[in-house]
Amino acid sequence: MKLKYYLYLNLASITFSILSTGCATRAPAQESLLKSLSLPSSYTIPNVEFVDQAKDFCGPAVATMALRWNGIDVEVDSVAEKVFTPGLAGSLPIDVISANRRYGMLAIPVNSLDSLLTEIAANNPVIVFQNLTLSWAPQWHYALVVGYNLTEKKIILHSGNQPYMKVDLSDFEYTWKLADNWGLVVLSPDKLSASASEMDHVKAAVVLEQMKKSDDAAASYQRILEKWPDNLVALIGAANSAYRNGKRAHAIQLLKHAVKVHPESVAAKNNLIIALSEKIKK
Amino acid sequence: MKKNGLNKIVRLVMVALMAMPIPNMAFAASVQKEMVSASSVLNEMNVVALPANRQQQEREIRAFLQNDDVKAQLQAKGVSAEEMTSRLASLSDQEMNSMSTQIQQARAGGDLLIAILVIVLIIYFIKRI
Repeated sequence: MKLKYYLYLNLASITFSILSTGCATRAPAQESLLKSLSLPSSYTIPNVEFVDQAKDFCGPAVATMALRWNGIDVEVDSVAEKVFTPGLAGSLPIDVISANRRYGMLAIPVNSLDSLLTEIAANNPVIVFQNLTLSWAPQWHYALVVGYNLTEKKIILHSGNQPYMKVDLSDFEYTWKLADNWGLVVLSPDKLSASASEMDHVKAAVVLEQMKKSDDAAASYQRILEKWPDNLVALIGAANSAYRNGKRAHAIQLLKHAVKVHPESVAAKNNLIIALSEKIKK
Repeated sequence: MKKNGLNKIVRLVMVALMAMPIPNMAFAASVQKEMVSASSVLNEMNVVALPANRQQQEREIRAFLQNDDVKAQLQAKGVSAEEMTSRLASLSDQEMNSMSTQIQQARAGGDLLIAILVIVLIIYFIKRI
């Protein structure tokens, strides 16, 4: 047991540099900030299926819940193969991220309380990593945030063996902060996160493309362009996808727009020339 | 391989563009035969944000690769090399880079877990280099 903690401790310092942040204090929720978000004072995402956690399986359980919420029909055991590391008796945060991508999902970071609540209010459950004990003797845990009640100052989690567990917001903030506010929203690629930046969306889409999940990446590029029509990476990605699928006219249209709004981009010009020259050949 | 090569060419073109007063001339001389990928464009944007020199990183990892002990350690953790490859192939370049940077910072400790993470890194690069 001690060794396990030791390993996690080191892992944490490597992955997050948590320990260097020293003593975390119990900071009360920033109520003024929350008010300025104009969210409902209380909200629970309806019908998020709860998956009971077997021993040490909080990582696979929350990943399964997040995937099923997105309509992916998976069993905990097959998720565990991708998430769990038997020798560590636990799941590394980076593997939780990569596993969701392997199912063609966008994995987008959520690292602040206001982002977290914004996602919940938009019906996007958030995977959170917590340290339930002390900074120097951590007990790591994953849970899925499914709701909140700001009037009662509670956060609502599918956690361990307990669905809809209500936790004091200040306690949650403390345990989450000890895990460096690590949070993740898992989304099917035709969706957008409610809180993440343009760049975070693009990064999530590009990884899918690098993994040869071209259709998933293309769906995401297209969705990104609906919100941010001038995004260069999404324009290039969407154009490449259209070009590969024989939709040259559409590719040319996207690339012309890319060249127009990003005249400095060599890639946009390069790709446009290729698309145009192929068109002439035909 | 192809992607890296392409990346390099794009970077050269970028440098040429910065150096020349008439960008389009520099560009006209170096049209690629293939479409530049979205990931290359993203990486170009992040060039400043990625601190470590990629080639240097790859050299270091190749050197580390000579050590076979580390592979066995990974197996002992109950994750097959094949599975680890799949996990790592699902990380972005930036995630790998930050992992690598953190490992380099921590490596002095000679910790078992650090060694494991380095192996993980190696397997990732075996696939990519």
